[in-house]
Amino acid sequence: MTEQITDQQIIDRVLSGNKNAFNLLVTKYQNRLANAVSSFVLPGEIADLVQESFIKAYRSLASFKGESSFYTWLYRIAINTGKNHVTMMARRPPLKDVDVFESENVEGYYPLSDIETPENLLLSEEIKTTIFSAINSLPAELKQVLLLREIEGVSYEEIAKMVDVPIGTVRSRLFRARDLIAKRMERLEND
Amino acid sequence: MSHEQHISNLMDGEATEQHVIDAIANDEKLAQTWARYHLVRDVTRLSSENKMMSIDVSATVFSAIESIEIEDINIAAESLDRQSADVTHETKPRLSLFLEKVKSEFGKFTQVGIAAGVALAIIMGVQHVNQPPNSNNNASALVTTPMAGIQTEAVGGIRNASTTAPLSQEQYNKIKLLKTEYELQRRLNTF
Repeated sequence: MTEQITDQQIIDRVLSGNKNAFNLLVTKYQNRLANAVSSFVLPGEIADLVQESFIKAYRSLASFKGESSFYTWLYRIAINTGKNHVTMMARRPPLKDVDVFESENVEGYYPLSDIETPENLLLSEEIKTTIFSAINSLPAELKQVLLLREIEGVSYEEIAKMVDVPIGTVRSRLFRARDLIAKRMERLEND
Repeated sequence: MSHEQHISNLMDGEATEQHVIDAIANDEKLAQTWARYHLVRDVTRLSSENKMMSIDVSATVFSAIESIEIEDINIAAESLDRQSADVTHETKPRLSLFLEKVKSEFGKFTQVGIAAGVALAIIMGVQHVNQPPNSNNNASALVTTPMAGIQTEAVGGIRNASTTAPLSQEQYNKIKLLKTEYELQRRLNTF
């Protein structure tokens, strides 16, 4: 079984009327999509683009036939939306006038992004630090299966063979590892 | 098995129960756990590629999709040109776009039809009022007024001097009314 099956199950729930289920897809893919689109839009526009892409994806969810993975389909929507946005931006006048003598020293016409504020970058760094610190403090047997699954993308069956334990053990180790890290993150959020 | 363990299995495609998705989607705490587990995945995977951006658009997307319905349109397949040419068309279903096109084409034909009908009525009206009451020529004649101003009968053969007599006030009023009617119909059909 793959993640694609999970996505299709979630989509089925959304199409049968559970709008909350769409939020599971948003939280699952928002960071991945943000990183993907960051290469062609300004940092301050990333959040808006990701948001717009998800809304468009929701609106046309009935047309998703599962021929590609949900993420591939979502990524195509984001690319088209991003290109459209860039085309429209090119038609707009600059946000402020720049003197001809100053223009050589001006890097761009647009204000600093919302995402790249020091607070937000710090938050991102803090999340990363907490997660890596939590992973490093995991018992070796939990850390091993977690890294095989999350970084290498190895299936449960393969991990079971590699570590020489039953699949049920892989399943429970993965859950315990994730649960321990999530609890550390929860403490960070509450502080 | 706890709900959290179900989440861990579900994110790896190891759970197929639909009720699990509904339970997670409809419970705020479980939805947060789902988001944290995926954030751990994103951080471990994306940080290894030396880039990581953390955003959260889930609340904004959710409030946006609350008021919109899923439509049977495929935004991902739409071309960039069409998107930039008319963004508003994205939100319209295919059926209404088709009906709009048919209405627009049909409107043109209707306009031409009405114009032709009114023009014919004017000609017939003029012919009728110009006919002398004691005329012994019963053959129908299409009377036309050439650019040179000399009136001739297109059908019927014999020129009748009485047909060139000036129109009475009542006849002028009748023609004026028909012209006004035609003009009104023409304007109405341009919209």
